[in-house]
Parts: sequence; C-alpha cells; structure tokens
Amino acid sequence: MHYFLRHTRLYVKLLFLHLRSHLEYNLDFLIGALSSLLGQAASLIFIWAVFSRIPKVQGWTIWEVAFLYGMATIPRGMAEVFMNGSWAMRRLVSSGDFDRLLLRPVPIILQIVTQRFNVTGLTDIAVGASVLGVSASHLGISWNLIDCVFLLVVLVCGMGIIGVVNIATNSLAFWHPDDTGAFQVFVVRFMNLAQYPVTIYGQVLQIFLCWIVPYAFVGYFPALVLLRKNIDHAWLGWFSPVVLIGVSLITSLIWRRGLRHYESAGH
Amino acid sequence: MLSQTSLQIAKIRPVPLPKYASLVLASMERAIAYRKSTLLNLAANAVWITALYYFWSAILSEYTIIDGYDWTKMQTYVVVSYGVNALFSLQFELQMFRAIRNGEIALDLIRPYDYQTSHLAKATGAALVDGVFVGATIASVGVFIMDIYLPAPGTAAVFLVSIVLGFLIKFLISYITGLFCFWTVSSMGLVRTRIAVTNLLSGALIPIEFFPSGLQSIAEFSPFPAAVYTPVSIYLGNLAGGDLWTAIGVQVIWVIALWYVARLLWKPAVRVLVVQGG
Repeated sequence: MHYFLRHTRLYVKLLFLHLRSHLEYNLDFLIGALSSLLGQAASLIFIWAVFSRIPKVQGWTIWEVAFLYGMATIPRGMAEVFMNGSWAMRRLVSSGDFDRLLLRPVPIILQIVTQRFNVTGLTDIAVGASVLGVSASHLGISWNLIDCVFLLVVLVCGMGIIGVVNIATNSLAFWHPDDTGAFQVFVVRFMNLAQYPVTIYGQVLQIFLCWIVPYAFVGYFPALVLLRKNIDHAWLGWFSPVVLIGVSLITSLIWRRGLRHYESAGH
Repeated sequence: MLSQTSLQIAKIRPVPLPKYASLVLASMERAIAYRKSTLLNLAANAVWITALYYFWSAILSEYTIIDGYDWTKMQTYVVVSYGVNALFSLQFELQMFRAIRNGEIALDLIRPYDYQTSHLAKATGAALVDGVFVGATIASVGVFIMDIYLPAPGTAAVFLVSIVLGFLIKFLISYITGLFCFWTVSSMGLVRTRIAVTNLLSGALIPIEFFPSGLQSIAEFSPFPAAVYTPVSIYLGNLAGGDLWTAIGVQVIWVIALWYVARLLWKPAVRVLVVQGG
C-alpha cells in the first residue's frame, strides 16, 4: 500500500511538471483546444449529416451513435492527458536521453508515461462528456448505481487500453529509434473507427478491432451494456477490465524485451 | 544514401535542370527512399477505404438510394474521392513544420529559391510518387474488387485538369496552415484542425449534397470543395456543359486567390520567425 501511494504521488508530481511547462505557452493552449474542438465538431457533423438523410443505420439511431461516440471520446481524451508520454520514446531513445531515466530511482515506465501531457485531451474529455450527457438524456437512460460504477470503470479501462497499446507500439523505438513513427500513428488511428458501431465495418476490420488491437472494448462493447442493446455479444461489455489486463501483460513482455535490447545511443 | 544518388544523377546529367525541376526530382527520390512510410500510407488508405466501403454498403443496403447516390455511384465516390485526397501526403506537411521548429528553415531562407515556389516543387515531387503508388493501388482495387465505373474519355481529360487544380488548392491550404505555424511552437494542433476541416468540407468523407443546407452553403463559399469534391463530381458526371466550366473556373480563381493570400502572409510570418530566433 505504501509502495502504491508513493508511486501515485510521484506520478501526479511528474505529470504536473509537464502541465506547468505547457501552460507557459498560452497561445498554444488556445490553438490546441480550438483544434480539438474543430476536430470533434467535424466528426459530430459527419454523424449529423448521415442521420439527416436516414433514420437508422443497422438498428442504431443518431442518439445511440452519439452515446457511443461520447463513450469512446472520453477515454481517448483521458489517455492523451494521463498516458501520453510513450510518444516521446523515439526521441528519448535516439538521442540517448533514455539513459537518464534508467539512472533515476523511479520506475522507468512511470517516467515514460509522464513525459508528455497533451492539454487538448481536456477538450476531448469535455466534448465527450457533453455528447454522452445530451444523448443519454435524449435516450431516456435511467442511471442506477451499478450503471454509474460500470461507466466509471469502463472509462478508466478504455483509457488504459488506449494508453497501453500506445506503449506497446512505441516500444518499437527500442529496436528502430530512427523510424518516422508512422506505424504507431497507423495503429492509433484505428481508434477513429472504434468510435462508431464496429459491426458496420465488415468481418476483417471487426476481428482486428476486437481481438488484435482491441479498441472495440473502449467504447463499443461497454456502450451495448449501457444502451441495453439486444445484441448477442453485448455481454462482452463487462470484459473491458479483462482485456486491459491482457493487453498490459503482452505489453510488459514487449517492453521487457525492448529494455533488454536497448543500447545507449553512444554519445 | 540519398545525397549519393543525387550526386550520381547530377553526374549523369550533362545539362543542369531548371532549379525548381531539380527540387521536384529530389523530393521524388526522398519519397521513394522512405518506402516503409509509403507502404504504411497505402495500408492506412486501404483500411479507410474498406471502412467507408462497408459503412455505405450497410446504409445503402437498407435505403438503396440517398440523394441520387445508389450503391455503384457511392462506391465510385468513395474510391475516387479517397484517391484524389491521398494525393498530398501528411508526411510532407509535417516535414515543413519540423523545418520551422528545428531551425532548418534558416537554411531554406538563405537558398536562392522562392520559399513558396520551392515548397510547391517539393510537394509536386511527393505527390507524383504518391500518385503512382496510391493511385495505382486504389484504381486497381476500385476496378477489380469493387464495382466503380469509369468516365468517358472527354470527362476523364477534364477530370485530370481538375485534379491538378485540386492538388494546387490543397497544397496552398496546407502551406498557409504552415505559415500560421510561424506563430506557435506546437504545430500538431494546427495540422489536426486543418485535416479535420479539410476532410469534412472538401467532401472527402461524405458527399457535400448530404450536408444540412446551412453547412452546405458554408462549404460552397470555402475553397475546400474545390480541392476534392469538384474533381470527383466531374468524374461522376454530375457536372456537365456550362456547370463543368464554371466549376473549373472556380477552381482557377481559388488557386490564384490562395496563392496571393499566402504571399501576403509571408512577410508578417517571417518577421515573427525572426523574433523567435529560428
């Protein structure tokens, strides 16, 4: 317990350090927030434009799709705020700065995760929460205690899945520090698809989103539970925590192999 | 590696190319050298086309025809709009931003090139390589796997002209975004906004007819549809006779207008850059 508390404190401290350096640039904060708002607006307008022509897509109404969109967007924002640091891996490894992290008496993964703090994540969280709230009230969802706890748990698990997958892909830096990072971006962009009902995309992409990069467990499956959708696989919504644990185990294997492979940049 | 090939080419070539043409060539070599990124780009394109394909297939199997788009026409829209949109890779845009951030731009400013024209030359090189790779894949997927239709020869010729104009508009939009990056240190936000707005308003995600009417008129008075939606509409045969030439004329006007807007922004942008110290 003491161990856990100490590291939580460290995590918060390190994260705030990066937040402070961020807030130094007021204009950038504004541009970031504005850009994330516009990006969200574009996606929402896309949903609106599609549903202004048709009442339902595969049994999904506009408010159900919006609900799912909100449920997937909040953890996305949370991951950008709380677990965004792995994107600094390439720079750290190729410049040799990674050595410094190895010397400090703080777990390396904690230092990596707190390397970056993306303020635009805050706008994503706000937009996601508003969309979720508005669509829930339109759908007349009555929240009982279990629903609320479930929502909180799956949001945190969703953040975990996104963040841990990013750590796994960015561990590639141990082997190829000079890559452009295109692969990491390629993987994370699948989250754009997982913000909508994944059954729409056809077999191959569905299998990919459920079992290879399991982004479907971020928003889609949990949303089925809260929407009380009568779909066979709705029960999978309860398994987000299990998926998070699985992804974490695989990632820790990759991470350890990577650390063993790491040789300093040599300057 | 890269400079070596350039040197070899320089040796083989007895007469020096005009300076911007050699920039186009260098940028093409660069794009070919980064084969892995190009392949990943291709994979990403494949994913997006597949996703959009199934998305519209799900909708149109329920509703058969929306706003004049049946399944064949929608498939054609998805494939052609994605192909046109893919002509300008993100990779290049980020290179431009990186040069601003790490100070490489100081060198760019010393070189005896016009900054705007030299960027156009580099973008053209990258687009030519992307065009061959992405265009060939998308065209073969579209024709052999999907069920898209081909335009009449006359339409095809106008379509090609319209693509070139659309490419120029897209280049200028991102170049102007690039100039705005002179004012800020974190350009990713700007790039993201640019991509989100362009994708939506240019019709790369969804035909502009589908927009609610308010948004449709906003889009029509912006340069974005001229980048993607116009060439695709020409391909689909939505525009004919007078409308066709008006659309091309609008594209030409946007190219000229944006070119001079970029020129106007250049001076204040450089002044800010000097204050930042490169």
